[in-house]
Amino acid sequence: MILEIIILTLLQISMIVAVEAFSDQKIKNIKLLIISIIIYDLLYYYLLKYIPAELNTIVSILYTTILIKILLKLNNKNLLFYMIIIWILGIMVDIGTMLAMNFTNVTSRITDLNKDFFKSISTIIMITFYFVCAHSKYIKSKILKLKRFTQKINISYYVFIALLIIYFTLGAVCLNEMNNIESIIFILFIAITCFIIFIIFIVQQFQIISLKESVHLLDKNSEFYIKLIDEYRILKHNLIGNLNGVKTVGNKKTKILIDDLIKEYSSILKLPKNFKEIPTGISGLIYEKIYSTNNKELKIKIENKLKHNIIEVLTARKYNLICEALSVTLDNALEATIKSKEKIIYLEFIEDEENIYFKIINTFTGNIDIDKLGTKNYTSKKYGHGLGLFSILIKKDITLATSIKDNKFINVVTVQK
Amino acid sequence: MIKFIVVEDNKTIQEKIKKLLVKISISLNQDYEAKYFEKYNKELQQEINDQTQRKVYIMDIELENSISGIEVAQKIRENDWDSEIIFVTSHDKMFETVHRNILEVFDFIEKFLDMDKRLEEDILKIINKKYDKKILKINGNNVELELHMKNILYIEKEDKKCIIHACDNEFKTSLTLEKLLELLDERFVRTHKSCIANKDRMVERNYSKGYFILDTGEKVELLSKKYKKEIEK
Repeated sequence: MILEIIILTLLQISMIVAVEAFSDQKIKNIKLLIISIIIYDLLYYYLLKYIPAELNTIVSILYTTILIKILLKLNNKNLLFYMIIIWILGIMVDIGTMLAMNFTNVTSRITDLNKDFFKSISTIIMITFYFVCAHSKYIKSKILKLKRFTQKINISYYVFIALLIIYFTLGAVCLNEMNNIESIIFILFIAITCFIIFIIFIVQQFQIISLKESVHLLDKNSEFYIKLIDEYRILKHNLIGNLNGVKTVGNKKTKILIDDLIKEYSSILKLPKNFKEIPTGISGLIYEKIYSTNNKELKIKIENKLKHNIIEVLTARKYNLICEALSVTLDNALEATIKSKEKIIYLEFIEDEENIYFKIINTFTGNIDIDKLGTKNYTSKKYGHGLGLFSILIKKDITLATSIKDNKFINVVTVQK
Repeated sequence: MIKFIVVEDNKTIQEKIKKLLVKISISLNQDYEAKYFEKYNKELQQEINDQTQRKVYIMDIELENSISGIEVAQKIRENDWDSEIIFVTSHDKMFETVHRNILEVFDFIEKFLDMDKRLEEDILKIINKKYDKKILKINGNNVELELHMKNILYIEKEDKKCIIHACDNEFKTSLTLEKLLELLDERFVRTHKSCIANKDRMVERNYSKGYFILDTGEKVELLSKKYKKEIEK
């Protein structure tokens, strides 16, 4: 009994350590962890006494899940993913141990006396395996890849497949009882549900395809803009060279005119040096906005701290949402900053394990009603509609945090990966 | 006692800064503490995390490892807006203007152009600077507003709302003048039944004609004799 509780405690710790490593989160409250494990041990001691063995496992899994959620502050989606991974890894080890025991003929030596010992072996191997997984960079990177992949799959796809399996299984089971009207109605019900889900699935797939198309178009536009910038720079360079050439053979008036032109061409639109490092698509959007503003005094600084290509990390829908949000916030930022003394726009793209953040800071001069900002129909622009910020704030998959620090407007758009 | 954190990978420049700090300390007869780093590391992060004291960071932009001085400044500004940052650099003007404003960098000094003189001037300015980082925080429905109290000129009541007049901007809030007065410090006084003003920013007061003039040159006709005693305290 005591040995069993010790082993199960170790198993629980190893599971928490593994999830901690996979999710890149740190357990800050060690006291809570120790107290929870002691409570768990006491609970398990009573469970063993009074509750059937099948329920013990369910209670243990639920308890560990809740404990991991509290200790690591994971959201439900991530918690579910890591618990499934832990469960699959555990089953793999269990099956592996069973097979190894069968092959080595150990099972034949199991008696009632040493049954507990042999049962514990697979749990000890599982504990060791969880600790190894927690420290293996290779396994961690594979799990991260898998997490990104699963986040991209649509939920209706899973529901459709699950219902299809249920349908065929029930169909096979009830094949002999087709004369029973209740069975026929039940199978018909499952078939209609499958059909409806299938239609929803197809509609969603079409939506995804059209979104992917628009992302592809944005990507192409971005490439086009980068080419345009290069061509523009070459053209400007050559034009200034040619004008200088003409200047040497011109008269005084021509020289003055050419100097004016050179001055004009030399100072149009300064783009940041790292403009090409900005994620594709987004760079096109930023260029379009800045180009249409065409203000020589505008100072733009971009810090790109993204580790991945956002088109690969985000779903097409989220990518489009980000483009919408950036478009609105950039419009607002550009219009506000042009009226200010400093005329500064600072863009920062940051990424962590869970989210991608787009931070836009701009200087501004003007009047703002802090109670009405972001509400419907409120605008600080001369010809605005007051729908831009409002339309972002009501979106479910992205969040917008706005703050004002003296003469700086700070917008942070957050999207979950 | 002022604390200096020097982050510079060039030994010669680091030595120069060391000598300069000794010189300033002797001339002002003031103690100081200085720590020197060649790159961003755990010890530097500990110094950044320790916010028990206001510090002066003197940093190079291009450091030995992949973390630049700008990134170190961003780490400092995650929580600490009280310390001062001076960059010793050779970067272009545009880069300077953006970071000076966004990260509130005190100065950018060119390494090979009168560095000693300018750094000495900056440090003296920082030491003599009136330390004032008090902030007024107000939460709107979708926005958080933070204003340095020194930048607030006056607040007037208009209909049911109050308008906060800051150096460059105006902010409307539904908070009452009484509530705002509670949130502000002693430099703010009632000048009229519908106005609160920053005493530090007033340059002239005329009670008989009922106006005061701010250091920005703005004339505000919201001064009542009723509040003279309190204002002149």
